[in-house]
Amino acid sequence: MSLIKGVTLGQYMPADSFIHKLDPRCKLLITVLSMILIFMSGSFPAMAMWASLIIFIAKRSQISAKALIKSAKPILVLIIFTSLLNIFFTGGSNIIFSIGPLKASVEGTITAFRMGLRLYLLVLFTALLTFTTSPSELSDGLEAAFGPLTRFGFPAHEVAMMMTIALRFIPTLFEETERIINAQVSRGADFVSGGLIKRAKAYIPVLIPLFVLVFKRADTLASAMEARCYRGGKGRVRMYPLTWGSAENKALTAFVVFSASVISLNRWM
Amino acid sequence: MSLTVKNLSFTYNPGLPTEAKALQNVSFIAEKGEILSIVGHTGSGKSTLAMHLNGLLVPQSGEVIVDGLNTDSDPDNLKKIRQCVGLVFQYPEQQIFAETVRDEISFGPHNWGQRGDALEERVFEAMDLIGLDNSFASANPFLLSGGEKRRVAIASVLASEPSYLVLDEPTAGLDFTGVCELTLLLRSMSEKGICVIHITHDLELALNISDRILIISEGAVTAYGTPLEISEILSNINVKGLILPDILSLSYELKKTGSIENLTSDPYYLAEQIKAAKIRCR
Repeated sequence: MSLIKGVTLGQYMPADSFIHKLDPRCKLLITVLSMILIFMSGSFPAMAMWASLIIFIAKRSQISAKALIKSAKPILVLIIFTSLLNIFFTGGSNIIFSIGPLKASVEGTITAFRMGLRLYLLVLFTALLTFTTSPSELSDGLEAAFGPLTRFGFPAHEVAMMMTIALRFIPTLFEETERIINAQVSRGADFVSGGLIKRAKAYIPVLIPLFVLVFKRADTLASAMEARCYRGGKGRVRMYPLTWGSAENKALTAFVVFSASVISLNRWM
Repeated sequence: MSLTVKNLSFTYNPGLPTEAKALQNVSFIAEKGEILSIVGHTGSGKSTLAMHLNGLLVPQSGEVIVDGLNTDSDPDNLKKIRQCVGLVFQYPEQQIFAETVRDEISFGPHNWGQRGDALEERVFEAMDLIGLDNSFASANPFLLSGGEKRRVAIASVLASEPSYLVLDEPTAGLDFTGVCELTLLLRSMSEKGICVIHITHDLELALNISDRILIISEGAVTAYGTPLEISEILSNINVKGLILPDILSLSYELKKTGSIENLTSDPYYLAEQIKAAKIRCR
């Protein structure tokens, strides 16, 4: 049915590149660092440098500019909204125009532009991570990243496993939902006409079978895991262990040098 | 009045790297009162074809015409088409949602505007057809056995009184008795003048119950005809992923040596022919 057509979840784009092959822990670390640093760099030249880094990484990992911009589209609305608030509520003496009590100042506009651009860069940078890292690599990386917290009782492995399972089953559930919708439409179900309540009610014949299937699936999966002696993270080894080699060292060093120069540029401006 | 499929082609995700041709230039006519089996291996496009027959999918090229109504037209027609073409999906028991068997079966006819006594009558008629006792009416469908659940699901489609009944792998997961019961049901439906379109990968079953058979492979029609014609065609060509019934292979060999006259996939008819041949030899 057209209801759920065109929904793409996760935006991993497989390609054979240096960036794709990097250890997910390294990519996570760089992303977290860049998030902090992008927020710290307020000047326009610094932001231009961040933008050029994003373009460089996108080029190296064969991600088209179109795909990158498209991925940040949903957030754009939010960014524009915050920017508008900034324009009117920053205050300042050089008023450009005013609508009632709302006054747009030059200072406000500059702040808004700065803020919006920074947020946008931030979103683009994190999009690079999801473009170049498969969901399973990502959860492996997160498990490793949260590893130290297990000492304080944080269930790092379990959280990562839950993430992996959830991501794995999203496409399957979409398929099943589509099948159930098709079956009910064939029996005359109508999801489009009528008021809001009527339309919401029309989804009951879809949701109940879906829940039944989900519980059955969960049960089967649990049995299958138990049958293969799954007992959580303790003593578990990996088929493909994460490796931190010279490529990761190089990437991290390059990033540190780059950010140091951006910070000094930002200070100097 | 018939269900006509003309030069139907359909491609999933056209223009994308994941593009997949599901149907290519498929044509056939299904008449009322016959059992037409559509036979193909997994991924041959059978289910895609089924979804075209009641307008869940609209042809990208070619057309599907049900009793003179084109599926590629306005939504009002589509409603009429869905009412007259009942579609039973694979594992139909997964669509069950209601609290009682009665509510589940009345879902279809209620959606098509039946109310009151007429609705009740349809429900009990459908239950009767599928061999469910009246005592099941107030039972919780989720607590029934697998076979009973499937019968409830099929009854819920029959209750709309379709003139075309499309079933996608209705025997999947059924035991021998279940398959026999279902076969009898399909027969009795076709005798009532309903056109039964039975989609399956089981050639032996198709040869034994159908009036006509359509074999599709990789989305295209490779053979179309009566079971006897299909038996003859299959002695000359090899269809990818299609397993010939042992009885049919045996009858090919026997015919080659001249022991029998007619090809068959029916063990009893084959035995009769062998017996007759023996008598001739004496």
